[in-house]
This record gives sequence, structure tokens and C-alpha cells, in this order.
Amino acid sequence: MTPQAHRPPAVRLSLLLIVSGVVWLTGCLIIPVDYHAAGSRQNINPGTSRSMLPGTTTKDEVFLSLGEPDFVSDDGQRLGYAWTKVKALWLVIGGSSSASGELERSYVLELSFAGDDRLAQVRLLNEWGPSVTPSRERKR
Amino acid sequence: MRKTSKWIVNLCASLVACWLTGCTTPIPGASHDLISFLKIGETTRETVLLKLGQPSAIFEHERILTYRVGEDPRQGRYILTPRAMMPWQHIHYSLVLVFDDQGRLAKQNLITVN
Repeated sequence: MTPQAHRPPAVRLSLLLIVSGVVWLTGCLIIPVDYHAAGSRQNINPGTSRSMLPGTTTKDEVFLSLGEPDFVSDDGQRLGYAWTKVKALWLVIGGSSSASGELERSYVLELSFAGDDRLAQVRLLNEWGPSVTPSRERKR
Repeated sequence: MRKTSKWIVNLCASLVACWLTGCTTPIPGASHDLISFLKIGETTRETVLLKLGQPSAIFEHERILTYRVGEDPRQGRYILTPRAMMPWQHIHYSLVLVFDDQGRLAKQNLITVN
């Protein structure tokens, strides 16, 4: 049994009333969530950069462990891996109509390589919204 | 009597098989052994292009080719074309093929992306 199951009915009713009251008073409800957006790749996360070692990891190793990049610089020395996560769900109720949607945060893991094709720099870019595009990069 | 019941069982099995097959839309090129022909040190770039078609991306003057691969439990794996919107939707794997100077397969990996 989960701890929530032990919660007395009065407490649960109070919580329900508070949430309903907030929605009724403000007309807005935001629910924090954390999952990948539809159409996003799911094999990269902020922790992926920890396995990429500057001066050691080669470009081939990056390709073979992360797959096809989403961005590549014109000289081929910078690769970008992009993914998007849904961070919150929102709901607005006004009169007889209502609207709802997802609040997304987009990430790009940018990997720069030196002349010997070994990893030189790792950078994590992120922005609110459905996409983030590194500058001077060509989208694949 | 036993012969009749066996005949009925066979008929039911055939009907179920027909019903299941009728509900499945065939995926062009889908196969359970789509990439089993790939052999390190043997398979050439030309063979890959002939069997899998146009790659989703080409890097470093065709030294690295990548393909986007979908998977159906019943029909197997199949090659998908990249789309501008939701580029990784319905894609299960990214196939990365690295070739040597002679154009023979040197390294490969099938990376799960979704």
C-alpha cells in the first residue's frame, strides 16, 4: 500500500477542494511533468555528456554510441544532438470554454572536435520552446 | 467423429490466420533480418546502398552512413525516410555504418533512439 492510501478521506477531500478552488479562482492549473515530447529522440539526456571525454572520445565513438546527429556544422567538426521534454501541462478555464497545452523545454548536446577527430568541447544548450538550434549549424 | 473435429479445428485455425493477415498492412521492405547481411570487413558501401537504399545522412565523404530504422513486431525492421517535423517519430533505431578507405564496412552499431 502506498502512503497516499493511508491518508484520511478528510485530508484527501481538503486537497481536492484546495486544487478545485485554485482552478476556480485563477482559472489556471499547471501540472509539473517530465517526459519526452512526441517525435523527440529519447537516447540522449544531460547525463550523456559525462561519458564523453574531451581529448579521448573520438568522432566515430560518438556516432557509434549516440547515432545520427540532428545538427552538423559545415566543416563537420561540430555535432548536435537534440531532444525535447514536456516539463508542464497547463489548463485554462474561462467561462464556457477551456484550453490546455504542454510547456516544452528543448536541449542540444553540442560536441566539438579537434583536428585529430578527438572530442575537444562539450556544451549543453537549452531553451524553453519546441526547438533550440545552435548558431551556424546546418539542420540535418 | 475424431476426423470431423480435427477438420473443424483446422478450419478455425485457417480462418483466424486469414483474419489476422487481413488486418495487417504490409510495410514495404520490412524484414526480420534487414541488416543481417552486414559483415565487418566484407560488406561494401555499394552493397549497403543497393540493399538499404538512400541513407538518412552521409558524413565525411561517405565514410559514415546512417539509416533510420523502424520496427514492427510481426513484420520486422524497415528503413524510414527522415521528416522535417517530428524527425524521430516512429523511429526505433539509428543504424550507423563506418567504412574504411577501401569502402568496406569497418564498424557498425544499431542504436536504440526510441
